[in-house]
Amino acid sequence: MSAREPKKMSRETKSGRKPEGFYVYCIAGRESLSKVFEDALPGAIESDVALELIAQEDLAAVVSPVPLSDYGEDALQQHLTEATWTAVRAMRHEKVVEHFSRRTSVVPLRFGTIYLERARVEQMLSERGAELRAIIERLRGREEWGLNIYSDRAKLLENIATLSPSLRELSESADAATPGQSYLIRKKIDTMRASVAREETKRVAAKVERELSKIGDDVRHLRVLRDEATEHGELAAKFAFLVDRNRFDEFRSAAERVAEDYTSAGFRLELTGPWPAYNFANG
Amino acid sequence: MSSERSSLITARPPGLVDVLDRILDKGLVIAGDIKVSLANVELLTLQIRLLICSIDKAEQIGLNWWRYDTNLTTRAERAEAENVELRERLAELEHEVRQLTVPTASKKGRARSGTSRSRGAAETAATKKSRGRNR
Repeated sequence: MSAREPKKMSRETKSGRKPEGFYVYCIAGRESLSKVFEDALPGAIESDVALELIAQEDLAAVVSPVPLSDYGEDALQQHLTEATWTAVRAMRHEKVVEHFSRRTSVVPLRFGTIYLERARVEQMLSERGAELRAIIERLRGREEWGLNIYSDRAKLLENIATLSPSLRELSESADAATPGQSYLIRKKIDTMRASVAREETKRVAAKVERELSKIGDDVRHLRVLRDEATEHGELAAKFAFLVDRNRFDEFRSAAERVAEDYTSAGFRLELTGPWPAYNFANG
Repeated sequence: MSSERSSLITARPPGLVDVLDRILDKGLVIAGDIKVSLANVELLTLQIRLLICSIDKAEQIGLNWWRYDTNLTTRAERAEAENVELRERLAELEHEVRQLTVPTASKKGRARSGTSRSRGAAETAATKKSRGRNR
C-alpha cells in the first residue's frame, strides 16, 4: 500500500508552476477518444487549460490539469459549498462529457474525481479495466433520457371528484346535510381527495414506467426534491431511461402516447436529453 | 392549444438542476486521490435552484453560454466576451443569494464551513421566498 501512497505535492513543474492535479471527466476506448481529439474540443473545467488524454492499454481517460489551490481536499470541499462556483464547473464538466458521449461510448464520472499524478490515472485504468470495458459495452449506442411527470394539482383534484364513486356519494350527501354536518363531510372529502390524488399519481407513474420500459433497456427512479414546482406544476415522479439510439423515435412516440392519455387527467410529461448515461454508469 | 401533441413533450436542453442532479450524484464513482464529500447534494441543489430563476432569465437575454462549444475556434472570442459577462452576472447573483439568506441566518456573513441543519432550513425558506417572488 505504501508504494501507492501519492506524494502530496505532485507536478511541481519546471517553470515554477503551481502544483496541479488531474481532473477526470470520463473514460472510453483509447482509439475512439484519440479520434475525437483530432477535432475541436470543448473547454476544460478551468478555462486556461486544454483537455488531455491519459491512456493505458486500450482505455483512456479524458482529463485536464487543475490547480490544487482550488482542487485540493480542503479547498475543494470549501468551494463545493459555494453554489455559483459549483454550478459553473458542473456545467463545464457536463459539456465535456456530452461532447465525448455524442461521439463514442463513454463512462461518465461523477463530478470531482481528481488524481495527483498521471501515473495514478494509468493505474486506475488498468486496475479497473475489466469493469470499465464492461460498462462501455453496455452503454454503447445508448443514451439516457430523463422523463419527468408533473401533476396539475387543481386539475387532478377536480377530476378525482368524478373518478371516485365514494367521493361522489359523499359530496351528494354533503349537499343534502345540515350546515354543521355538511362542513364535517366536506372536511372528510378534502382528506379523501388528497389521498386519492396521491394514489392516482402513483398509478400513472407506474403505468408510464411500464409502457416506456418496453422500449428502454433500463430504467432508474430519480430523487424528487421537496416541492419541486415549476411552471408545469408539481413534479410527481422522475425517471431515467437508457434508450438505444435506433429506438429513440419509438420511445418518443410511446412517451407522446402516454402523455396524451393522461393530459386531461392533469398530468404532463417532459422528456429531457439525450444525456450521457450518468444514471447507468454504476452497474 | 393547436399543437397540443408536440407540446406534450419538450426535449429541451438540460437545465442546471437536471445537470447537477446527475453529475453531483450519479456517474461512475471512482475514489481518486482527493477525497470530496458530496453528501450535501440536496442542500447544494437547493442553493443552486435559488440561482436558477435568475440564470434562466440570464439565458433569455442571451447568456446561454453552455449550449455552445465555446472553444471551437470561430466562437472563441464571443465565448470569451460571454464569459466576462457571465462572471459579472454570477457576482451579482452571488450577492443576491447572500441578500436572501442573510436575514434568515442569525450570524452575519454565515460561517463558511457550517452546513448545519438550521442553515439548511434557512436556505429552504429563502428558496421558497424567492420562488414566490419570481412568479
